[in-house]
Amino acid sequence: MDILKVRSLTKSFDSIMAVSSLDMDIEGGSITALIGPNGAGKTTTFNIITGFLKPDAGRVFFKGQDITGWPAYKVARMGLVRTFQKVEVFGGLSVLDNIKVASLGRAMQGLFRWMFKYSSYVREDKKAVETSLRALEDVGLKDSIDKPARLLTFGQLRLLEIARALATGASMMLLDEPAAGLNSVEVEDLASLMKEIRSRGVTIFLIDHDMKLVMDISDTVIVLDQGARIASGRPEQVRTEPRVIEAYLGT
Amino acid sequence: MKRALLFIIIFISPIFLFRGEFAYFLSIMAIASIYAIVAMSLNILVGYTGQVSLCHAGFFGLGAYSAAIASVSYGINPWFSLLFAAFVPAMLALFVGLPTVRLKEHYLAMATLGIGIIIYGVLRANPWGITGGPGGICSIPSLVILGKGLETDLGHYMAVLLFLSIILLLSHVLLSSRFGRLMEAINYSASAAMSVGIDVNMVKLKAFVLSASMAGLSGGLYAFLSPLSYINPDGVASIMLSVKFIAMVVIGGLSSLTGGILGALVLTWLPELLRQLTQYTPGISPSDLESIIYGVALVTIMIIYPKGLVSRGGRHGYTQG
Repeated sequence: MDILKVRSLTKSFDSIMAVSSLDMDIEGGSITALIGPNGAGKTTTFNIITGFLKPDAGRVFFKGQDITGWPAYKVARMGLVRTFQKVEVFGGLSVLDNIKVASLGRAMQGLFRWMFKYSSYVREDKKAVETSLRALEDVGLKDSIDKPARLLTFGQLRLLEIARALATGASMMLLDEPAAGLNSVEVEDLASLMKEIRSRGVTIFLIDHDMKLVMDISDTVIVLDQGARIASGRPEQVRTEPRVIEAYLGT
Repeated sequence: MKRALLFIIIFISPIFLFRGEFAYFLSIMAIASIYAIVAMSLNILVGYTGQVSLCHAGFFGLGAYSAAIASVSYGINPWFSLLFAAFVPAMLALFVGLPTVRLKEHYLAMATLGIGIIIYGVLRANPWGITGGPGGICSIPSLVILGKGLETDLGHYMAVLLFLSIILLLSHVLLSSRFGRLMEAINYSASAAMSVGIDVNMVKLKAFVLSASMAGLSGGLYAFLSPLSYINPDGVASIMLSVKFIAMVVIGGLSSLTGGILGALVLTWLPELLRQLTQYTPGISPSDLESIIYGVALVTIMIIYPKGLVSRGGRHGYTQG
């Protein structure tokens, strides 16, 4: 069962073709990696899927629903949640509050809820704290819940972003270079974390340049070059494709 | 806690100190307190949500005019007229906010500047003869408590102090609530907020409308308590006043309610003190000297205290990544 379908997705910036008629199917409950040389259009693809960019043409379907051109917050509410290559966190808020914002989501937006629905407000809050603590425990950040997020190490910030996605109850996560800037121990922890998340039925779609990590954890690998898909399949199939070797090593 | 105590002393002591020939200073404290409400409203927007507004004097003025017109032209009880003062600017903020909340930084600054100029222009233009043009509106009634009109400086001051306390309390509760946390969150990273399902533009719109409503209410108080029972566009809706409100927030300290109050005190008293100085500088008109020293004081404070006089430590000037 494919949870995400992308059909002839196209996006250009000025005269540069970032993504050109890209087709993709991502199977639910799998780990899929999107790889390719720098400038292949990977992050652009993520931005379009999650509503941070509008495509010039093509369609995106999530759980059978056409979500093309939806605003980012609506895509997230459908259960499709992303992280960022350049980490984005609420720097001045505590680690716990960072996750609570995600867990409460739209319930945060009521201006006067505390006034009119105080008992349900308190109940929701309690539940949100529980959800947040569980997510922080999953990624191993439970010891730093009171720290302002900006004081975390880079590796911890990456984990904070994953915990934030977990706390929303997402059914699919798009992780944009989760291993970038991590040391080898942290990458191993990340790999087992991603497998653990998959085992709960959450689909993972990631971009990364760490080939060892990608080949180790992915069920499927999709290779992009100059905005187009040049190969896809199981990791061991893809790594032997002549076109992939050519794209990576140059001619 | 110490700071709270200090503020209570600053605001209560004038009641006992400024008597006899100093009673006039009470009206300055009343103006400072009214401005403090605007500074708080602006701080919710600028300090917490990270949205700039150069049209808060517009909302303040619109609130003042709404209250004045309701009470003078339609004979509505001044207390009820205050509701118009809060409601009319909120409606305008909703209307202009819908297209402008998605703007960022300088673009938002320019857009709100334009809105401020339009409000000022409309008030001066005297549409349908309701605003009185450049001359404004006079003979505005006083607020009445227990059958007694608040005509004295002390009465004015006590009434404003009551409003200031209530609004400070409500703002504090709001900012400690989830919505307050959310405003801070979108200030730190709008992208992260969107990525977890927060409708960032809606949050900004709500903050804008709420802030405009607070500024408008404050303007309504000003209309009923102004010493000469009189308001005009230059006094309540000028662009310079909007700049002054921003300066109060920045000088006092972004993202701290008490910072805004301190900024309002400093910037209301400073011109009064400078006026005393002008007797030693013949040849320079009082208002020119005032502007010069005022400007120098602003620059100096910003250099010495870039985060404002009251800062919660390391919260601002910080950008992620």
